Amino acid sequence: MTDTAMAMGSALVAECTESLDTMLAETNGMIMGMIATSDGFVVASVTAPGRNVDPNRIAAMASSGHALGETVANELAHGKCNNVIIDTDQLSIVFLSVPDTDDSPLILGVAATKSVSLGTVLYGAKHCTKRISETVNTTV
Amino acid sequence: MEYKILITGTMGAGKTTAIQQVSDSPAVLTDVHNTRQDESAKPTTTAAFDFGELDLGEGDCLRIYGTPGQERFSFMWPILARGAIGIIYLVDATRESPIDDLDSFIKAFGESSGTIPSVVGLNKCNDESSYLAPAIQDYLDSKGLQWPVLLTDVRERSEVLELFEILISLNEALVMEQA
Ligand SMILES: Nc1nc2c(ncn2[C@@H]2O[C@H](COP(=O)(O)OP(=O)(O)OP(=O)(O)O)[C@@H](O)[C@H]2O)c(=O)[nH]1
Ligand SMILES: [Mg+2]
Repeated sequence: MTDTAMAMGSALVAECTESLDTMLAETNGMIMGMIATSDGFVVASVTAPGRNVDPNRIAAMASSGHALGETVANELAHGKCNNVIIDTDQLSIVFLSVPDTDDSPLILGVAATKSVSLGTVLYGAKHCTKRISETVNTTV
Repeated sequence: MEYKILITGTMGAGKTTAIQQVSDSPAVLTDVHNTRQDESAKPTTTAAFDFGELDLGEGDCLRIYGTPGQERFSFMWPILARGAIGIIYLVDATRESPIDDLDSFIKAFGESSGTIPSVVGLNKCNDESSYLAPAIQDYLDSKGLQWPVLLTDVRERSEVLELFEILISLNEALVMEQA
């Protein structure tokens, strides 16, 4: 467990991990789900079997990518960034804001193969952010 | 001419502060909530980069990029260093081993650090840190790096501008040498 996860408490981390497991199970093609702090520390992460992902590196990149999305959203739309989408030939990767975590913001990072539509990925991921948000806001 | 300048150094060294002092338009920041108060007690930390612009007049302009300081964002460093004509290494004099800090950043910018004009800004100085400037100079000498070391306070616009001026003149000297 990372220091950050430890600080958040094992009950919370367990619930986050469970939500990620559920998301992966319910969303075809999803190969990774991760909750990270907005400054890039892993809280919980789940990877599909056979996929090799270094959660610490991805968490840092999710933080940078999401922060950049937030900066662009501010500049052009004077608003908050809901998610950042990275589209590659093989994967759809999305970094989403977990709602109502303003005091200590969390990000959900997901990656899915192109066998599944972006809409499906977003649907599964958004549902997961709501669950995480509820978990965080009831546990603390 | 457009000059790209990079500012780097540890978390809390003052990179974002420096760029905010000098940018003509509000600096582009990517600061996020900082969960590592133990490492640096401040509300936010840079996750991607800082960016500012400074018009020098006569068609010259500085584009200033600040790196994230935390090592786990180091994948951003080479991206940001690309095309820079100068690097400012900010050293936080209040940290435990400022010279080790500097050493690790110089190593991280490796390739570029030998050839790109660079300057070391010793920030957050107090009475106890007076030994540091000569110690840093000794360290640089031992590496064969002839870089200026300046005591600075990056909360002061004029002091940040001084670091830029040095970089630009080092760059001009290099261009003349190569010509
Ligand atoms: N006491 C003191 N404080 C300073 C000095 N220079 C900067 N600071 C403060 O130190 C802090 C520096 O924070 P940042 O500018 O965010 O540091 P940074 O290098 O961008 O850090 P990261 O983005 O987290 O890597 C600010 O709160 C400044 O006000 C100085 O000379 N003395
Ligand atoms: Mg910064």
